[in-house]
Amino acid sequence: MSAEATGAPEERFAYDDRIVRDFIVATVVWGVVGMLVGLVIAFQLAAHQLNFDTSFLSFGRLRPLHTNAVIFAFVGNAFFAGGYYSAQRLLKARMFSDALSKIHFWGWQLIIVSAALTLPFGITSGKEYAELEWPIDIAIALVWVIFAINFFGTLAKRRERHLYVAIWFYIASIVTVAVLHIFNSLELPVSLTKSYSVYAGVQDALVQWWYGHNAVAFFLTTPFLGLMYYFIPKAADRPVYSYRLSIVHFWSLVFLYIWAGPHHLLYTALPDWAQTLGMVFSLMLWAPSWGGMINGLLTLRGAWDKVRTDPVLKFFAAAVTFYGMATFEGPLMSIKSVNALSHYTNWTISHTHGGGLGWNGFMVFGMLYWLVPKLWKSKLHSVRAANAHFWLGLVGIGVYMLSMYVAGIAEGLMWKAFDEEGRLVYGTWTDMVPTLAPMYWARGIGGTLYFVGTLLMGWNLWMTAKGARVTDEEASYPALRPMTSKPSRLHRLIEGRPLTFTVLTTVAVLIGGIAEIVPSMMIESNVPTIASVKPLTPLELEGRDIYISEGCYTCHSQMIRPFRAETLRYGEYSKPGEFVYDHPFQFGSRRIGPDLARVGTKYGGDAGAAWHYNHMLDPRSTSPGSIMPSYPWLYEGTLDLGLTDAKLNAFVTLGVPYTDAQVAGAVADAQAQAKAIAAGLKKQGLPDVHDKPIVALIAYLQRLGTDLGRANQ
Amino acid sequence: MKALILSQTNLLWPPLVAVVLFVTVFAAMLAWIYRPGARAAYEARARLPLESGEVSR
Repeated sequence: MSAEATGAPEERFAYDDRIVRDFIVATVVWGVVGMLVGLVIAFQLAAHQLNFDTSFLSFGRLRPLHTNAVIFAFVGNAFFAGGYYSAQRLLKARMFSDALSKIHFWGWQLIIVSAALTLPFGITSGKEYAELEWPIDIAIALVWVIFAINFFGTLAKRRERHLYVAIWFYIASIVTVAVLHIFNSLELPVSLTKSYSVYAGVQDALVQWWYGHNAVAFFLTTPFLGLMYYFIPKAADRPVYSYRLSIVHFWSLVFLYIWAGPHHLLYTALPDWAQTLGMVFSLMLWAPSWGGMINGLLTLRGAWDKVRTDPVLKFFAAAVTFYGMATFEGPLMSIKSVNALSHYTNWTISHTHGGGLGWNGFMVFGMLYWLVPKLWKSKLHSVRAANAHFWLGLVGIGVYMLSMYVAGIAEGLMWKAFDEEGRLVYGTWTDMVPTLAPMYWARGIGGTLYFVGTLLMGWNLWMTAKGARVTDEEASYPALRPMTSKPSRLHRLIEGRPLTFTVLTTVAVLIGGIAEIVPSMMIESNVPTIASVKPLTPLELEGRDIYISEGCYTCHSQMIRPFRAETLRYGEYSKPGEFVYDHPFQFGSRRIGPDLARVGTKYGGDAGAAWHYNHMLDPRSTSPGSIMPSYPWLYEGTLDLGLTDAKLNAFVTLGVPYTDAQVAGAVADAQAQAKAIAAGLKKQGLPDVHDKPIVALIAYLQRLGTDLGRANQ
Repeated sequence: MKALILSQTNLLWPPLVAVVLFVTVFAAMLAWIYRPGARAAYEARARLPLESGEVSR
């Protein structure tokens, strides 16, 4: 207790441990679900038959479900469990309001359930890790604000003057996630289940990756660093190696992290200055990340004998090591010349899973093995099973990551391979697919090992908790009284006052975002317009919505980088001016299939339309060896044009220059274009599809990248 | 107009100011954290998670 508080009468109170229990149960349940979906999509890449020709089981729809489930459901609930447990003890107070804690818990679970009920059915805003549609976005904001009120309310009634560094990390996470979520989710609704990002093209990409990168930073990293600074000292029963280093770690990390977003857009149409800023700040992140990693590992100094036997410390030591590896690799991949090879490949998948499975997953497992026996007041059912879980997980991650490194570097090199005459060695995409197949199988096996380990943990924790009940633990501390002694003023100003501290943290976090986003929005020369680039026709717009809804962006980029290997394969490199009407942008982040930025120039006319028709119905008929799912449901039902006017109107509101006449005649225009394409398909001997969804998608794919060609004619 | 102004202005100073500012703040932070005489206070802070005022029923 703090010196200035002594003398005050002791207050007896109870921590709210039942809310911690609820979040723990949710963590395990959603962890199993999220990882299972991950396994399914992993094996879908090895065997396309596992898409079962079924819309809600296809890769493009399940992949967002997997990422959202493991990030926001598994890791999110774990942060709330550990956060609620540690914050109450560090602040020596029960949570501000039990009611708010409950609303937070049930609100968050409801959001997760609504994600599971929308994403597989193609209801998505099409921005990675922010796919949930606008009503759910609003719910997320509300629940987050409730969490914040509850947390800051607890700070206000705390019995400990000093805010331990873990609390700092929680504060930074809560504030920053709110800012990121709100600004990236600004969208214009056209119906309950459809909205368009207010940003377009390059600017949307910058905001999205400012969000996406910092979702990694402030949802997967800083909350877990807070957990690390609490639970590792607890489990090892010794204080953190260097408290001073943890302060340097905190301020450097929150200041630097936010700038690094553009490293997701290297060599794209994003202005060069923003790319360079993103790369340089990523490199600077090496220092605080490794400072934190070393601080975490050295906390175990003198306790290494325990690491050999205690599964909790084993998981923690490995998790912090993975944090070190992932934060070394991240900046490495942000170096432009490395990124030229790694971007769009499985290397990125390996990197993200090193962080996700290794750092987040192992931190969660260690924390749960420590917390559950404590909360349920029993002994861990089986230490042997927990140790077995550790080795299953570790070997699983190893197999996963190594196979994806091999796959990533192999595909990166194949994309760029030239023969002696300067032609692409692998000119056809499907020439490269068989090389990756064994790696996809291996990855699936690695994932299975990890998943079995998680199931084993679920059983072990269940057996540990069985028959016991969680009761709120009681504690006794003196109340906090106004400071009578005079600690240094600056310290009191920053660390002693949560409000001042929070404002300073917010400023430190926002500087980077403002410095990158504001100029890119304000200075028009960043996105030179191209006269021949026109808005999509109503039918193409509908096709684009199908493209987004099916999650095509999870496998196909629309961004040709300025490399000879890419311009030779795909055509002229992409220009910022080509995307000015793209709400949201569809650059993509991965090339499981080829880039589509100029696919319209490759498959034009009736023959091209017929190619798309056959390809979407059975990809193997046009591209032998392809692992793409079939989309038979796009050939059934009726193309819904009920919202087409509203969609054009929304685009007009967002600044896309459709005329009144175009908006008024949108449906007629779409039907006419659909009939023209269908007539062309009939000439090729195919059935009449003028009122089927596929015709809109064909229209969109045939348009892609053709505007620039018109300028060159 | 804006483009003209931007093209004819020497805009080297904003990044320079930013670099000097950032480095100064960082150095000041380090100096503050590692100031002599604060060791005991930080060690007490580090022990916060290990405190236990818990009472059993």
